[in-house]
Amino acid sequence: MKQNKVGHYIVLGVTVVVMIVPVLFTLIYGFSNGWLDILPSDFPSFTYWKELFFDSPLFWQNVLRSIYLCVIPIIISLVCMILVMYTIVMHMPKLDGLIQTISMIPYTLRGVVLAISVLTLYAGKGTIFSDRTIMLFSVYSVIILPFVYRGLRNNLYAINAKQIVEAAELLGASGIYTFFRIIVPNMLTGIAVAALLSFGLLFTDFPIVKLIGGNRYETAQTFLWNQQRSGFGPKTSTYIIMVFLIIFTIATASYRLQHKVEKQDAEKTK
Amino acid sequence: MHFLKKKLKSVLYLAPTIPFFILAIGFLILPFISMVRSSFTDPSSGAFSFVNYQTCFTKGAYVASIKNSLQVSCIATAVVMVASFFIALAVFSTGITTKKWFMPIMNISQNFAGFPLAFAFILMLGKQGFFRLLFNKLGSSLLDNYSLYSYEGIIPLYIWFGIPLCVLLLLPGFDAVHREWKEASTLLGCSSAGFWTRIGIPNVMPTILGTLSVVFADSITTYTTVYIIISSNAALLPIKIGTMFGGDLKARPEVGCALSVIMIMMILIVMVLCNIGKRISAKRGVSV
Repeated sequence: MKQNKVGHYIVLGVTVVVMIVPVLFTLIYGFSNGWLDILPSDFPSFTYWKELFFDSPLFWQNVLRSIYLCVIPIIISLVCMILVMYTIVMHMPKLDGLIQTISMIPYTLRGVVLAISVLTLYAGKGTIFSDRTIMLFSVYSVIILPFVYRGLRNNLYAINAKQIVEAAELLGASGIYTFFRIIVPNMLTGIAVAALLSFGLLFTDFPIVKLIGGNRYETAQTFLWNQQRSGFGPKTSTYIIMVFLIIFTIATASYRLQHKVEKQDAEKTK
Repeated sequence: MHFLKKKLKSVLYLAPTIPFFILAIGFLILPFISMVRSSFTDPSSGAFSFVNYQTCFTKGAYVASIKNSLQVSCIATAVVMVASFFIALAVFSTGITTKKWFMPIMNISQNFAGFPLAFAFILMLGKQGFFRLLFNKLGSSLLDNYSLYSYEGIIPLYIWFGIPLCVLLLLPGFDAVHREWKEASTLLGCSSAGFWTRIGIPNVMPTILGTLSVVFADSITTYTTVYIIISSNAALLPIKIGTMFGGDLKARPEVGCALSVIMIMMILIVMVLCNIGKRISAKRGVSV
């Protein structure tokens, strides 16, 4: 039995090393002045980090633009889904099946395919949907539907929305009041989880913004793309680590929140 | 009158769902239909035809991209599944404390995909990569035949970003294996390997198959990493599809649509096969 466990720990150890090595290399490279020999030169050097924080306005502009391009679709998608949930909870529970089916389509119709199918339909047709920004926002809103649906739906189950609605009705509250003053505030964790997961997905998107926008939108990802194309150096490494840190923070936050929600559920069922 | 009122009411109830349906129909369903239609349209005459599919399956560059994509994704998926199974097994067998320190590491690597990953691999295994230098200094020729910029060479990247996703998806499946079963089978004289081949794996099978289809879909649609390492000329499906629409010289949207439909079909076939497998394993009475 004990021997077996040793085998398992070896598997885990090897996995950790393999998974962490690329991250470490990128990190070390960022703190050097170059890496043309076995050891990186001038390690540790903070030259490029200083430059990143004090002399790279373009990078931070792009990060901000990325955030803007992510936040608007997330809001659109959330609002649409909350309104749908209102109808499902209050009047038409049967609608749930259809909404779920639709929301799961983006799992199969991934980024590239969805972007090009929207392009074929609307590009250059002169309609309101032909506007690239509207196109990008809409595709982004659609691509995150699986996360948004799951996040809200699970939370709705967890807070036992149906019972709340019935109780509120007995006490004389109107449907709209109950939903927006009682149910939605109780769903804030679900909304936050959905928003964070979606943010992680959109912030790292490159194909959609590239295909739909061409070179119109400068996001954090297109910035990294241009950097890698123009030259390969420790400076790029610092940008990459910075973008990674942003995504990682978001991912950790959503992971923690999800656990919190799960814990709450577990306590409730007790 | 009563009927009308009822009807009006249900229309009113549906009013809040309008924005959602505008979004879903306008940017999911209609585009998809138009893409399928366009894939069956002859670009010169506008009539219904299979000419685009014919092009996809006969012209060298397209055939190569289909073949390369399938090959890379299948090999990567197979390796990822086997490796992740043993990793998830190790996490499961060593208990809850492992999960606590191991999952954050998976979280790190999962979020390191795309640009960062491509960059790191170029740094390590590229033309002047660290390991190449190291092996040269040591006099080893291990990496001499390896090129990161080839279709075989990028498979390690696919494996690297596939593993964290796969482990994360597999772990819940292992929870279906009760520890008491293991104890009971040991008492009855079953070896550890015997337990896993006869009891453990059949029970985790539904999760394994579900995960397999996700991992396959994820690798076959990978864009960013390949785009950087092999460039926009890469003969791989997602990249080829992208160039059919880009500002490049040879924009051929109809062929791009046909390639997309082919890619979706591949994903769906794997998904359906996995679902059939799930049913069969459930029928054998091993589902919990």
